[in-house]
Amino acid sequence: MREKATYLLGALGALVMISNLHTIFVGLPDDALQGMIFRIIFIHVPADLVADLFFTIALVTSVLFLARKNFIYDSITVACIEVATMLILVNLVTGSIWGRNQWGVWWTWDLRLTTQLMKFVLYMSYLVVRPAIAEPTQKATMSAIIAIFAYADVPLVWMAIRLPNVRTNHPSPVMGNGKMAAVYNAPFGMGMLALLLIGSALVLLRLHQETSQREIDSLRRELHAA
Amino acid sequence: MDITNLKFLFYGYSAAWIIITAFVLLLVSRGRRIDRELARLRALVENKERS
Repeated sequence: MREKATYLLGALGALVMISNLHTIFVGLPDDALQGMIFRIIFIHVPADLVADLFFTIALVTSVLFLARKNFIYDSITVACIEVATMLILVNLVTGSIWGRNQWGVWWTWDLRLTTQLMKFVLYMSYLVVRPAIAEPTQKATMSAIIAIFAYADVPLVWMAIRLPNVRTNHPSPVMGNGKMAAVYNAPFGMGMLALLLIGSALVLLRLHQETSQREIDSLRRELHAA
Repeated sequence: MDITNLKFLFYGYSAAWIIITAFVLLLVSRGRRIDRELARLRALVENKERS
């Protein structure tokens, strides 16, 4: 049943994404300043927003694990962080390609870009450190502490283009303040929905794997003890 | 139509889909490995219980 729901979510996300791609590439006019490259916003920004949502869930489940020591919270944390880190990679790569076209450089050590790269590195460190600890409780505890620590960067990225007196090349926020033309709102929302559905399906798939992995560890212990 | 713009737009969407597809393939392959290992261990435990 859970497997069917996972595949249904993924298929629904793919359908929404395909229908939205048609709208983005065929139905929308080019941006007056950027031309057609502006269309990268419909994957670049949703990837980061959906990733931040999963990082926030991971923060909550990490705190819950430390408070209750229930391993399901650890499984949810690792599933969310793995998918969200992949989405941050999508955000960084698409942003870099946009920057090469609009700024003439692949990368610049701008505050927004640097804090976003820090986010990727911090959560990668979570994924690298985790398998190195063998004892399950110690592994989950250490992972929860790293996940809580890494989350400190999420509001920093958000603030990087909103703080006064910060010089940044990154475009200022365009959503919710009337700066983005109304015609772009629907494809943007659909882009968010598509990545949210696909991301949720991947989190569920990863969660199922983590549960199976725990069963494997428990069976191994049982066999060794016998 | 600005061809440079189109080229970079193509690079951007291709890169995004390559990353997502690679991640999905990685998950599927890990899932298969986990399922095989789980089936093997379950069979071992069952055999041990019988004997």
